[in-house]
Amino acid sequence: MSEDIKKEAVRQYLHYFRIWFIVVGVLFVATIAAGISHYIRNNAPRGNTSAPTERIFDYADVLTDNEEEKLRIYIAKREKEYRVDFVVMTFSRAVEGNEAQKQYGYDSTEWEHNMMDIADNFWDENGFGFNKSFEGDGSVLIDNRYEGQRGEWLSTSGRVESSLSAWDVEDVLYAVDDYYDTDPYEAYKAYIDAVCMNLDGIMVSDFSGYWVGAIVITLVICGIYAGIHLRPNKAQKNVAVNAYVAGGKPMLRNKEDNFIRKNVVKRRIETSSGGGGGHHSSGGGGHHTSHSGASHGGGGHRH
Amino acid sequence: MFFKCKNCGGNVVYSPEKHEMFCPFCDSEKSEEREDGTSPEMTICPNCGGEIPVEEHTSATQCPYCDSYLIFNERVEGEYEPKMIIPFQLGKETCKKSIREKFKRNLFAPTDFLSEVRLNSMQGIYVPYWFYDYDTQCIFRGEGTKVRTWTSGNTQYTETSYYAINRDMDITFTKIPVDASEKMPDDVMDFMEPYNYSQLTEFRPEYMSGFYAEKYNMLSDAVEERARKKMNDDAMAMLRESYAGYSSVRTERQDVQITDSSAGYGLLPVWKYLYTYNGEEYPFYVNGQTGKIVGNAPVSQRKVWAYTGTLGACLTAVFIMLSLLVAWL
Repeated sequence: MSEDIKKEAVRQYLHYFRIWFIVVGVLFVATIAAGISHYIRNNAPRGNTSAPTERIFDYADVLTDNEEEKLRIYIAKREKEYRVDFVVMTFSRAVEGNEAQKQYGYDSTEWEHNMMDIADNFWDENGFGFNKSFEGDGSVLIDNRYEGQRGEWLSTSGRVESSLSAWDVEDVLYAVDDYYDTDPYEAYKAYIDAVCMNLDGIMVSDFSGYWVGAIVITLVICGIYAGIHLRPNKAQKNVAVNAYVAGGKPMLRNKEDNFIRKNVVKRRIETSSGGGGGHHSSGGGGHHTSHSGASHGGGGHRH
Repeated sequence: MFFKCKNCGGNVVYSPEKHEMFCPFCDSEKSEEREDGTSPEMTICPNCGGEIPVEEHTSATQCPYCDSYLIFNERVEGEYEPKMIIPFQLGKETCKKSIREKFKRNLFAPTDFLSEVRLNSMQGIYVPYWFYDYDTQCIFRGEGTKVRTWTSGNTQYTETSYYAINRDMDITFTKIPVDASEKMPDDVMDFMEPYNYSQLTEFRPEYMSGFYAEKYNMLSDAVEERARKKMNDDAMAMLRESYAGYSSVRTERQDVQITDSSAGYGLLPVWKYLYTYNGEEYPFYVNGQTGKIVGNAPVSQRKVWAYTGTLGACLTAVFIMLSLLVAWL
């Protein structure tokens, strides 16, 4: 290949991929900027200094002292890593029915409503949140051990709220449920791990799915691209059947279509009735505003 | 023979754009003067006396020394005199443009495939053809059905009517072309069709000046089978068209009988571009009248890998950076 042809080949190549190279270049710059910003953010001091330093409020005395200490260390490590607050609060009191409403001044007689209020209020009143008080990043898991009304509720705020969909909240609660009756310490640890996984988003929880998808899409696009450009330009035969006929059409000397016979077949149409169906309902946590006006997400499971 | 310019002595050629003889040296028009060589040997250029390589069936070529276009009298006269010719209607520049247009999207073609230097090697060739005329009587006998369906209440009725179909037609085919050259691939020459016969004209050797040509080297009888097949296929298609509208047709008899036939010899214009890549030849043919192109571009494996790999790398980079952006923002 002569030098001129090589130069021309490079010129064609650069010209062809110019848009791609610009896009990749812009993304690269944006990624570097985001990386620097991320680094600065991650190394910035905690924004909220007014919240209590305690993260475990074991009013129902569910955990041993040793477990509480282990959980405290674990939460501290995860908070530093993910820069969100993880709070666990256990209690044991009625949250359902008229009597409980009267006694504790709940807005509702329903378990779900009151659990949600308790969780949201606990978060708001203590001013939790990693980056800022009240509406900052983090979540609280409250665990009610009152007999007959046992269950947990997860209240999310800030980045945790925006990162966790209703389905993600359900995933967190199911992770808690696995150990709820057998090992509360593991249950609370599972809550923290599950929230962290969801915070990781595509980087951890959906890592394999994202990359499998990305690889498949890349291969498919490359395959289609190569296929389109490798497709030969086949010439078509486009000679009309009368191209070589004098006058352009044949001389029809005889054209007869003589009716011979006919037959009729009858068929009864079967009618069928059917149909029906059903519906299903789905549940899950949703976004709402707490009494103090902060936005929360979350959901709960009753045991 | 060759055509010399009365004004400057240069070689006058036929110009497809001007549709007349033209001297590319002094721009004179219709200034040609026929010069027949004095040497009885065909391999000696009558213009410069140089020795020219002449293949067995070549009837027109270019002298490699003086670049004059030469026409060999004994291969365009007598039994080899064409009765008709379609002169080139498209010049080399127009064909180069057509080829560039057609193959510009062939990304994986070698870089120099459409280069000026390579495309300049394109040669205009008059290909020998036999043209067949047939008078035919075509007959079709068969049984056709027409099906009608309707519903009344909860009963569906299907009525099938049967008809006896008779068709007799006379079809006169004129000038079904079949190439009479061993060198030209038959399927490619069939793809070159159709030619517009309104530009078919009486043969004059002037039309050959500026081009290469072959005399017929396959006899009419040897290639007629191809013409008959084309004729038969077209006749059958026209018979089928004549009884279209039936739901189904069962053939009892169909026949195409030739009542009269004749063959004539002529020349049709084809531009040939021969591209050699990795030791393999890739011929491209352009109909010198209509511009229809036949041929497949070669594939540069290096380009396939470079372009597809770059696309894959760009996509992967985009996916990686998007994932990082989502995680970091």
